[in-house]
Amino acid sequence: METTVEERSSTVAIVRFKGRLDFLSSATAREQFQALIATGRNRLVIDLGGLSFIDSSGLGALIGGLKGARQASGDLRLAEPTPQATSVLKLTSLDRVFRTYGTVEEAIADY
Amino acid sequence: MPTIDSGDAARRVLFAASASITADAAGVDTMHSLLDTVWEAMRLAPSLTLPPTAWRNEFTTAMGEIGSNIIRHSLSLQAETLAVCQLEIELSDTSLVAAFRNSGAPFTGEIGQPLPIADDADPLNLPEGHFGLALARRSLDDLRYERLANGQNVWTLVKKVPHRSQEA
Repeated sequence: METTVEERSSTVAIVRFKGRLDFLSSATAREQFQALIATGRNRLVIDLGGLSFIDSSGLGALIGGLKGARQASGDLRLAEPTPQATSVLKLTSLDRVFRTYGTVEEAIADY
Repeated sequence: MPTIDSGDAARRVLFAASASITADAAGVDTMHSLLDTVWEAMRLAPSLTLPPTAWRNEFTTAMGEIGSNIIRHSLSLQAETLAVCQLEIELSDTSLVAAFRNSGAPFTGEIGQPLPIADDADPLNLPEGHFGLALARRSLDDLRYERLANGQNVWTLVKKVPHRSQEA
């Protein structure tokens, strides 16, 4: 999986995933979230538009990032979820936990 | 010759494929690629209708969960050679069935464990794992595990093929 990080401001960062967010890549995703939060960027937007697949390990990484961001008085929001990502979020009831937006800019604007 | 016990002896098998899945990233690729061949077969076959995206996503999710659990467990054993499981997929006129077969320690968990994420869960107290089986089960019509007398583990995933009247 490829990960791209855009530090939009001192508090906002966009993380873009391309490929599969699964048990092989979830640890790297967790580390990325933790590193950004440690720099003060506690308002994270995760662009899921490039995901070909996400499993429960990937969801776990997002949950971990959400916890870390909120504990730092921020948030972790999802943008442009693929149909498969939307499906797993709904099947796990996590669609009630994560704020999800149609675009990255909408997610940022709502902060 | 069908080898999967889907519980429907009268089914008409339309497509079947199999592959050996190694316990590494390549094994994950193989698993997803095999499923892609099923979708392509369904798209091309005149007697079949490609199920809706949501249906296919659910099956892909379930297969990914079970397959990755097997691969991850094999990796944790740090075997000298990459452990292998056999993945068989069978499409019939009634259902799509995937079967993972491997040797090794038996599964001792609870296949029917509920999803540990309540509808009103506090985000700060959410579990960060151990809900893959529940997710797989919710994505399928049937999920079975069997330990055979020869020491083989068999996971069988079943999803009923939607009929034309149910596609809307």
